[in-house]
Amino acid sequence: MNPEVEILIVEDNARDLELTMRALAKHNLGNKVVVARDGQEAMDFLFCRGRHEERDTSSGPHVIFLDMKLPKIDGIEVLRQVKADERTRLIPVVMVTSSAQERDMAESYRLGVNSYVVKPIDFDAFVRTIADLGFYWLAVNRPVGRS
Amino acid sequence: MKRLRDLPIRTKLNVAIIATFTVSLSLAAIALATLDIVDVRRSMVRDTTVMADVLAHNTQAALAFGDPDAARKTLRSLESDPQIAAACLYHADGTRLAEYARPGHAGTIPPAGDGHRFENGSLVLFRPVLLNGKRIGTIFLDAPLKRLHDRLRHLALIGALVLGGSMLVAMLVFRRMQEPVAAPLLALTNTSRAITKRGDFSIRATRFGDDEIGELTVAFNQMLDVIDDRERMLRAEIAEHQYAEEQIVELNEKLEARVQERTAQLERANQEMESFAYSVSHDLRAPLRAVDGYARLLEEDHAGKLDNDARRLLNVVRDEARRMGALIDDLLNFSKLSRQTLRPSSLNLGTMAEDIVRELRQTRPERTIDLKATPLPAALADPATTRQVLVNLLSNAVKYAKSDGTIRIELGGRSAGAMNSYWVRDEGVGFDVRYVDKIFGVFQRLHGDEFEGTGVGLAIVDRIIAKHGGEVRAEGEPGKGACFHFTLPAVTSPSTESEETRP
Repeated sequence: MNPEVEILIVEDNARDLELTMRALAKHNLGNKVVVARDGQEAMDFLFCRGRHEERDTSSGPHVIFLDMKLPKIDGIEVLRQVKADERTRLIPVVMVTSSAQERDMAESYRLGVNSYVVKPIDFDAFVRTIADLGFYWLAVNRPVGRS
Repeated sequence: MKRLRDLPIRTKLNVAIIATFTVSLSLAAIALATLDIVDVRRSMVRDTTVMADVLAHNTQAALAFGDPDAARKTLRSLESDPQIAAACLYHADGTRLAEYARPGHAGTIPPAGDGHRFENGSLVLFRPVLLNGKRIGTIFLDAPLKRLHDRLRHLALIGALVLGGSMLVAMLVFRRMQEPVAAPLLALTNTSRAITKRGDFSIRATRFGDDEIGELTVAFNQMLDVIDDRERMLRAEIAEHQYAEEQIVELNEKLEARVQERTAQLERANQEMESFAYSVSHDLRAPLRAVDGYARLLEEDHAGKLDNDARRLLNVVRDEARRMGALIDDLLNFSKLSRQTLRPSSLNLGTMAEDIVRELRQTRPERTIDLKATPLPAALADPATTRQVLVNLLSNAVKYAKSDGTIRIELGGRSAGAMNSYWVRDEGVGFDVRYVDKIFGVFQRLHGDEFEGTGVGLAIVDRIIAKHGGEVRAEGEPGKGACFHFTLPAVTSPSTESEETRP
């Protein structure tokens, strides 16, 4: 029995992760969240490999918050593989990153990212941004196969 | 047949000498022979006349007495003289008394006038026979000219022999003589052939004597000297040229290698710069976000334990984190400028400035901002970066305004050839002109904490204007405002001048 997963957060920075979780919790969005601390772990989860072998892809996630700079496999590569695989390419991917580099942005959009968000430094703005993202992708947006 | 002028000199000389010899010797021989013949004939006439007179004397009596036998006898005495071929004695009336003829001789002829004449290869002579001064008959003698002909033949033979002999001698002499004439010429020819064949202008012809050919040889050698000098100079010049060319090629290669090296260095530096900017962008922001976020969490979660001073301190932490965030953003913008490509178009700076001031009024609603913009010449500049220039200068004017009263900003400009000159003047706090050099440096600030800012704004202005090929200059005085001058390329085509560009 696989519990439903709404958000997969791929984030290596523990501080950013805590702040993100805090922002989601503040708006009651933090219940069905899975965290991957690097690109490899994210891939294992998404493609049900390694310690996620038992998992069923139908259990989600409904959206992926993906950091750009990650250990082992970086965000761009994760994005590429997610969008290239039949099982995962319909999952919305949001780049949530500190990098406002044109190069990263252009490459992400080229690979089919659904949204690109630069994390604000100001905490209030940061909380607002994360909450907005959660609401939008989980409540406002209507994905394929979910009524 | 070869023409005379095409014949070799040797043959020409031969012909000339032989012709000269033949003509002169022949003329000499003919002259001598003529003289000799005349002389011989004269002596023949004299001898024959004497003989005829002797015979006339001896035959006086026989003629006077009409005795042919005696006369014949006397005439027969001529047998001993081979010179006389025939003789005849006539009476005064012309009748023949006696005659004598050698065997084979044609015979006598009838008497004609006295005297002698040459006819039919003979000397024919008639002399009167006188007795006591009275003519009693005529004697006739016929002396063939065989002697004369013999003599002529001898003379011709001798002449021919002399001619042949002297010609032989002349040829021998000439053969000796032609060596000094032909040899220098041949040597000259061989020299010039060798020069042509080997291209060696240092070869010289040998001089054989002081004659004309010797002079020709000297002249020829002098000409060679001149050619040799020219050739040497030419070669030196060519060598110099080639050396220079090689130098240039070498220099070019070096330069190219250096350019490539520098380009590679620059590319590496650029890449390093980019990855540095990337790291700054990503890695410096994350801790700042943590500082700000955790300060906020502290405030939220432990509000009960914090007094006012603790909250003030936490606010300072958060303010500084945000300020550092702004610094990072400005620094990134600044470093991005150098990699940005300009896309110039015709710009109306006045309209652009009005837009910016409208936005500035929203950020500072408590102040009255008055922009006075005179009509400006259109600039040919990149819209986005030029807007950044105006934003930075105008927001500086607002930022450094005096604490009360209307903020007055003047934007002016005039065209000055290929570049337009613009200025932004304010009535703010101004600056000390001693520090004008520092004003456009990165992170250089002339003012303290009373004014917010990162110290990048004017550095960005400077860099953008420099990228457009323009210049920036600042004037100011503490308490009396500042004025920033900058130049941008003018629009040269009149068709684009009226165009307005709105951001």
